[in-house]
Amino acid sequence: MAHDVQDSGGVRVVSTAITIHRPQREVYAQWRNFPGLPRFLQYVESITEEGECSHWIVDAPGGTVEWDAEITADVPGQVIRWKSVGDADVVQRGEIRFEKARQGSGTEVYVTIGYRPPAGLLGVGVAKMMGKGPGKQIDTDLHRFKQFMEYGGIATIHGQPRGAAQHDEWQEEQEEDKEQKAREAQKEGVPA
Amino acid sequence: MKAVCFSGLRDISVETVPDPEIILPTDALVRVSSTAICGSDLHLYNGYNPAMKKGDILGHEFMGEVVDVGSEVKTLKVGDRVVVPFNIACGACYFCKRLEFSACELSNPNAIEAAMLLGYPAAALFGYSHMYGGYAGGQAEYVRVPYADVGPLVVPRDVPDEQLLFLSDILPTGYMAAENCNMRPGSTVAVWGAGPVGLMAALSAQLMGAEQVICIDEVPERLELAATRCGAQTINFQDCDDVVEEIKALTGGRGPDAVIDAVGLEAHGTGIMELYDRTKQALRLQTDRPNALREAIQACRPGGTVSVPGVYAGIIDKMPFGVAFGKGLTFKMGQTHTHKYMRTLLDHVLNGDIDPSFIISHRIGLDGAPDAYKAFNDKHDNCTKVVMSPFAA
Repeated sequence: MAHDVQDSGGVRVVSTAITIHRPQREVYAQWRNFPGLPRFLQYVESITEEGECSHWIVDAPGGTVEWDAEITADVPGQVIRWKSVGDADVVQRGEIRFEKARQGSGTEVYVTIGYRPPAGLLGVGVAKMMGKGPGKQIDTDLHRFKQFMEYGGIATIHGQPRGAAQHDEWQEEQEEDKEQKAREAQKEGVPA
Repeated sequence: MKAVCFSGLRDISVETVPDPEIILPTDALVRVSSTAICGSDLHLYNGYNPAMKKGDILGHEFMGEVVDVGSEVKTLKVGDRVVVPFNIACGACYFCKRLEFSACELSNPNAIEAAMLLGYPAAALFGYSHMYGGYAGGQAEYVRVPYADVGPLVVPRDVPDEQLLFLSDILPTGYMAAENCNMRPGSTVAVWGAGPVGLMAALSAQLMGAEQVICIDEVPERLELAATRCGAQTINFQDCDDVVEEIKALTGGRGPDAVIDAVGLEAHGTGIMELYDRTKQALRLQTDRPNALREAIQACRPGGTVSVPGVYAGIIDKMPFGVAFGKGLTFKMGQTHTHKYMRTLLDHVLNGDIDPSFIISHRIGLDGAPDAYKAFNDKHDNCTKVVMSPFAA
């Protein structure tokens, strides 16, 4: 987890890396299953695949953003590259590379994403989603992916008890949990 | 349920909060029979951790009975009597597989925030701020324990809580501190801080064959425990001009083979360096007061080992690093890999080699927590260790 952010000509490029203690092919295969990615990608609502194209719907503060992406390279076990096509809300291109870890038996995962945030309120929302330091959300999502790969679940304290000073937050989380459960019930049947 | 909550700087409240529930299928719920206040809880009490929120439930030393388990818990069962390690570890990641549990990469849901603040994704701890995961702590009637098959150690029913409770933190912490000293039979070791961790380190050093253990503190009753219960020679730093010279005088002029700093970031001292540290800390130019560590480095013999179980959190200065280099010292430190030591230490307790219960000075219910934090912090009322029993009559 060590991200680097650069801006060039209105395009923001974020690159980061994480080591996952699972074999290369397994890590690749889990990531390549796009419809399963919303499990780790906190703000991604859904991804549907049609041939070489996938449709992404993302919850951003201020509204939903959507785009179609096409795969520009796909080498099993090694690399996936994509770019947005058509009239995307967030114009972007990205790469995820999988290399055999030099330490231990895991996989080094390198991610580079270049994106042009939308203008206006939605742009603010997207910026907010990307965190105060851009790249924080990508690191958070990759850490969630790592947890899923290595442990099979994602650590949380959502809904745990706490004192009166945090009562409002607690109540909010209880409601979010209810909504989440309802959504999951609805999603049943979507292949993981 | 009733729980001890952080309510701000030196402000502890006992509140009625919602009962914990199983959140993930690998969780367990523990009904707490005993829980202790740790010296490191005082760092939170004194406001050294900016990631504490008002209303956070405190506590990371606890034991009790398993009252519920999630659907994916394989070995732990309802009814098991358990001691729970203070750090939270997944058991599956690269570091957990290497038995370096305190470096667990998965347990902290806020790992990225921690990495941005600290430079590394710290593992989670119970009741120790949102930087360390924000998990509700054990100074409560019930606790949710994640990774239930990894952390909790099942203990026999016929041994009292007081002999087992400290397997959760201070006994393994003192033990690892002594192990880090590369001790051999006949070794000499000096321990700064005769608080619970220092006493456990002194005891562990004896167990590992140390021939001479010297404890340094300013609290007479703590030094007395070191002398009577841990077979240590003692130095009260308030009564001597130069601790380092005093230690050398006790070790043939050469200094001990190993030194242990069981004090950490809130060290007390005397003289000009004490004034310097207090001023810099107050001005936020330095986060920690490393007085004990400086003396330890100066006292250690050439080629010796400096072991640091005392908690440091940030930046320190005026370290005699040239002395450390010149003497070729080895430094070993860090959060305890608690899980790794619990079983070995349980065996020592069951065999009668170690009975750590002698450090307990106060036995109370949860309602007494606010006063107990104050007494422990001020070292009043001979307060060496507070144990709370949430359900005691």
